[in-house]
Amino acid sequence: MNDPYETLGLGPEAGETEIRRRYLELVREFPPDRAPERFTEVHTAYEALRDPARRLGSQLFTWETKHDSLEALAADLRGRLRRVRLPVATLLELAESP
Amino acid sequence: MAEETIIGIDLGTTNSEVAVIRDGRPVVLPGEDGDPILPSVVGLDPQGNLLVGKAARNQYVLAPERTIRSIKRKMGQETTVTLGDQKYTPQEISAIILRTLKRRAEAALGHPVSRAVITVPAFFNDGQRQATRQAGELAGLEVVRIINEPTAAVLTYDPHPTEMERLLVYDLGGGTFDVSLAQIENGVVEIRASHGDTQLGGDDFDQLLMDHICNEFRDEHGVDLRTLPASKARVLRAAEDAKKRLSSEPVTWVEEEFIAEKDGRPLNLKMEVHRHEFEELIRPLLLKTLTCLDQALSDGKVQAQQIDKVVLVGGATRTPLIHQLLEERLGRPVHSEIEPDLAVALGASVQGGLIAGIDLGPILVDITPHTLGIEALGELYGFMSHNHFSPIIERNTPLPASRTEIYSTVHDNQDGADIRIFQGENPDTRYNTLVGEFKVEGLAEVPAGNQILVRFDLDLSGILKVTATERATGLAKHVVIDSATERFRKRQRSDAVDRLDAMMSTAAEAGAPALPAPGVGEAAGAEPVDPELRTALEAAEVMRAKAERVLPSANAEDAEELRAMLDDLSTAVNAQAADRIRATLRELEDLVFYLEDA
Repeated sequence: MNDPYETLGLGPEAGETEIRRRYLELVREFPPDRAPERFTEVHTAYEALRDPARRLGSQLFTWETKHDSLEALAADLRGRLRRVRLPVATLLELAESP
Repeated sequence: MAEETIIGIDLGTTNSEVAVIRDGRPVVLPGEDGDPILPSVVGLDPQGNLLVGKAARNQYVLAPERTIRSIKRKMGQETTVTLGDQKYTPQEISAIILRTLKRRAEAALGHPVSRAVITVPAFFNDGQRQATRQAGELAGLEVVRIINEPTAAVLTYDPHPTEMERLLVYDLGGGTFDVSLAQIENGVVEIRASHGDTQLGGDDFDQLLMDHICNEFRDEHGVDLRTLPASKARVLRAAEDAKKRLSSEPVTWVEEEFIAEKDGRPLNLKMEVHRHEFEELIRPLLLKTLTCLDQALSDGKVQAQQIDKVVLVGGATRTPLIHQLLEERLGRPVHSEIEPDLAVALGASVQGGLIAGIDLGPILVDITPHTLGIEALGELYGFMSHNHFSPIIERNTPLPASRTEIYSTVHDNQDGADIRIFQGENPDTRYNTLVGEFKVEGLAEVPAGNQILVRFDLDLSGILKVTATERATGLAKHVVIDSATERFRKRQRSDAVDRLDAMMSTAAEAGAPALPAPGVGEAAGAEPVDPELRTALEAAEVMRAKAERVLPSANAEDAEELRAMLDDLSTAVNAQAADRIRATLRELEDLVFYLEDA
């Protein structure tokens, strides 16, 4: 699976508004009836990032499994954890949601 | 390029319309009588000529056996209807309506039209969509896209609101119900969720009210009007009219003179119907629509209070109880800003314009409201079962959608596999709809676990293509989708076109010239807006019933005269000529009076 941030051309710091704005921009550029394949990619990427819970999931668990040892995988995950910069309010909301 | 015009057609259960883009704006095209609404009714007059639209609808009461209404409810079923002495598929009857609209568009545009966007209920399944496309082909139209009715309605809105807008479309037509959640922002119209019921509509309200009236009548007179086809047709028509009046009046009368007879005495129907009685009859159906609405909101992850606009589409949404229930459920006022009867056709023409390359603004992202998958060996109720539904494309996935799943053979040396495609939300395929099935044959003789790739491609019209490939060999094996509509396609298509041509030519002989004049017979059957004509038509209905009562007891000579007069009456009714109807009525009256006395 492609990195959704890469598909949308956004950095991991992008917030909800920016993700939405960029998604709409790309849909206008690649409408479903003119560029169906590109549209599907864009939409899938957006789906992966559209709400905070999914965003957290994408940031933690989207990678190419090239690690040949558990240590390498763990190091990669630790690195990814640092990339996750969700606002405190969102994290609290996530913690409280069932 | 004029030839590039793509017309938009709303092929409804009760009414149909056609629209085009003119000077960058969608317009609905009126028929020769000036009315854009073409009743979706097809019939044969006493001479066997084809009637379409109002003429056919008006003769329904006189000749229900020669009239077909609500054919849309049968689309996608492997069934036929009888008209005159011939049987027709639902596709053929729909094609007659489509051809009439095609001719109307050609007359308005002044050049031939060959391409169309046709709308269907969002909740129509694959078979129903295929059938709609076939109807278009039979009518001589290439159906470039099938779009969902609520989606079409949304396309009539400004795609560039100042802020993001969430629309809830509640579409209750003559025979089908859809609810869709749309989000409009920066030129992109996204459908977020759709739900519905393809067998629920205003027709059911009429039916319930008719049953109510017939039950009361039976209790009072001991006669069940539903057993008398002509009487039943009259009560149904009266129920339909009463329903419409009850939208603006709290109480109304249903009156039909001479509706039946008992012990040689005529029986009249005269009954008061209160709006609250009618509302209690239809409430259970409306509660079903609210369940669909809740499902759409939850699928779209939207709270009722986040809805910015409620869009009402379809004639049945004029029912005050619907407004009341929606206002209670959504906690906000509900008002129709758009013309509920025309919005869908207008939106279809917008989609047609977009496909033709006219820049009209919106980019549309629509979804499939159904989950699609195949039957596979898997867990069901805690046990392994052959009826396990394995979803491949989940509901509310945007279109077009393509997905491949990998399945494995269960037996050693298994040389074939049945691919049974289902649509629905139940984990048990027995509760879902079979869309099609085919067999993969000639698989390699290997131990169990041979991998089969099943690929689903759902196009922008919501029509599915399925491919199965044996992974090891990389070869797609013998793939034929054998759905009911495919069988139809092979067997009947060319026959059907010939038959339709023949029928449409009788319509031309009946007065409407061939291409490019509009309206087969529809022109002859203008809506009786004229009260004088309306009265004459009603009198004709009553007289017809009286005449049919005395007919069996008349001698051969009188009976023949009576039949001839009834034929004259039908002709006058079909011509909508009030003075001719009255003249024939006077003659009939004398004869019937004489025969009654005899």
